[in-house]
Amino acid sequence: MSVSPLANPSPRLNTSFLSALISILIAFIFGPPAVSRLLGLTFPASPWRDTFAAFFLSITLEALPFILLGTLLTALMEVFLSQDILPRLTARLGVWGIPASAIFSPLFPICDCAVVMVVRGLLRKRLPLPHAVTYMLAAPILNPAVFLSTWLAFQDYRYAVFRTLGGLAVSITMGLILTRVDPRKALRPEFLATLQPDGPLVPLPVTISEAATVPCGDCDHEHHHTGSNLVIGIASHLSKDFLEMMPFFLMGVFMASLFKTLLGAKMLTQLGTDPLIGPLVMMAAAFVLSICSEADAFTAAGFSEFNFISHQAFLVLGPMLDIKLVLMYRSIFRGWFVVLLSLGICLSVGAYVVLLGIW
Amino acid sequence: MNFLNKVKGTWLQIVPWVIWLGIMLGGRYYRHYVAGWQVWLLLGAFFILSLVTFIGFLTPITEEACCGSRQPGVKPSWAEILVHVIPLFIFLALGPTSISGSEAGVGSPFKPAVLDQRSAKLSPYDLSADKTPPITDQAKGKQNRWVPLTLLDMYSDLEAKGIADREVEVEGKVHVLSKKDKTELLKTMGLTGVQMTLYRFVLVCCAADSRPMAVVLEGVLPKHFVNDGWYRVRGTSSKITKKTLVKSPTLSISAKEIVPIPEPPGPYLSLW
Repeated sequence: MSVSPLANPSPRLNTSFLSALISILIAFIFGPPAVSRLLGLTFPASPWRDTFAAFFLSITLEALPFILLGTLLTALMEVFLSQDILPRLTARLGVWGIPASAIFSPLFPICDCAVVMVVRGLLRKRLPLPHAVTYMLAAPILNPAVFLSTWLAFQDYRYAVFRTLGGLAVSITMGLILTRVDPRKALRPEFLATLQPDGPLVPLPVTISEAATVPCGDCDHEHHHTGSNLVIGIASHLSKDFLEMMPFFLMGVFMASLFKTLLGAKMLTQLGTDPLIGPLVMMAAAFVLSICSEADAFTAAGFSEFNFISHQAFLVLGPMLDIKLVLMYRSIFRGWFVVLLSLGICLSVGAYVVLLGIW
Repeated sequence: MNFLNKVKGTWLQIVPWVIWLGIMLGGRYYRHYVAGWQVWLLLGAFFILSLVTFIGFLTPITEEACCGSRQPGVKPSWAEILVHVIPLFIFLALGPTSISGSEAGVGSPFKPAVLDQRSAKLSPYDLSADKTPPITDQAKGKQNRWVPLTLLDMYSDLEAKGIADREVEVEGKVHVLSKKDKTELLKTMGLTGVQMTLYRFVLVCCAADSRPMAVVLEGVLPKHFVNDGWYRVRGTSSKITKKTLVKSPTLSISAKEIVPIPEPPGPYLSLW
């Protein structure tokens, strides 16, 4: 069943609503000190507000270059990658394409913020949904920098190795499960509208195009990127994708900062550290703290009161699922799919750590 | 008309990001939020966004309206424009801020366990403070009585060279422990009788992943003391000898002098 963008009477409602909501919330929190500052008045300092601002701006500042990198990769894919390469490749590999998407993800070593942007581009280039999600979940963990930082943080290769194995197992499991999901029902109508009408699972007719002269996947007409037009094309794709993602990202950062300020890691760890509750607590901590996959191992190592299994729960879940990522996933997927994906990830990570515990 | 279209379109949405990044880099305010090594990434992001802004300004609007999920000709709403001003707005509203110890629960931080994982001999870390040449005791006597150290130096020196019983000068935030903090300290570390701590946050990538690191502080607080304010402490360091619940050694400073100082340009210590 093809879902037309016209099926949604107001395709921009979500982005617009989200933008309005976060703008109002921010104005509510930071409006009074801003007005006071503007008028030269003294506004009572609030440690809570300062900490919240520090969290919000630091996560945004840290992630911004990576989001731009992901967006740039996507823009380059849009311009240079032929529409038929990925569908042909996945058709040839069959179901083995799913593990291949995970195993070869280190070829595009990116972190969790950037991967969402890249997956948008891959879906536009007709990579099937299960393959794209497998890549999305695996890439931030199988990243060599993440492997190295995990090793350094714990000074023990087992943490890095089992984290990688966990990333592989969970991402492939989720990919295989998603072969039963219709991508047209899973993708947001606004995002679906950017794909060609027959959707990402239907193979495209094979077209031979020159590297820099390809049809733009987003448009209902063809134009060609050559010379200065090529630069304009890349800049245009980059700016559009970046601007579309940022409201979701900022909302995710807002919620993560709020939780971090109100709860903090300490409060979570006080819930319990024993081997049964520990993994659950650490999964909750990974979800709330929303730390970049390249730095989260150092935070995990700081929770020395937890055991190896609990650390693995934190390390495997964190790059796949956190508050910020849930909101970023919403820029691609429908709400029910994000809920399903989140549950699937939690259960798969849970199963993985249980198996580790038994072993 | 074409200009007005641009101003309410992509151009106006990206420009606040460029301005914010420009302020962060130009004023070196990024040190309040991310580790120093990230400056290169931020410069790259600033360059890309500036380039996109420049190209977007020159590009005809018809070209601009083509790609993306927005239908051609449909302009962004004001909310969709305002949302991109948020980081700039927060920064302008408060100025540079850092994590407050009370909010982050600086009850029993002491040495982050991540430092327990490494041995000083095999350390893969490049401690920022270690880049400065060590001050020998002879040289110290000539120029200054106190050895200027960071909290990171103190704990790494404790393992490597034995920092205990030396006269040190350390900067950080002073936190007077509440009743709740004291209970927490007893529960997590087995320490009693601690009245205040000198702490600082240590980060890997950004302030969001930072962890507090502290030493027990003994001494007389200055007049007009501000809890969680910045102070320079001069005193004698020592290792807490009483048995604590945690295996890692804990340090204390018996302060001879606690002086308020302005917040340093880089409020965090970097693990890299």
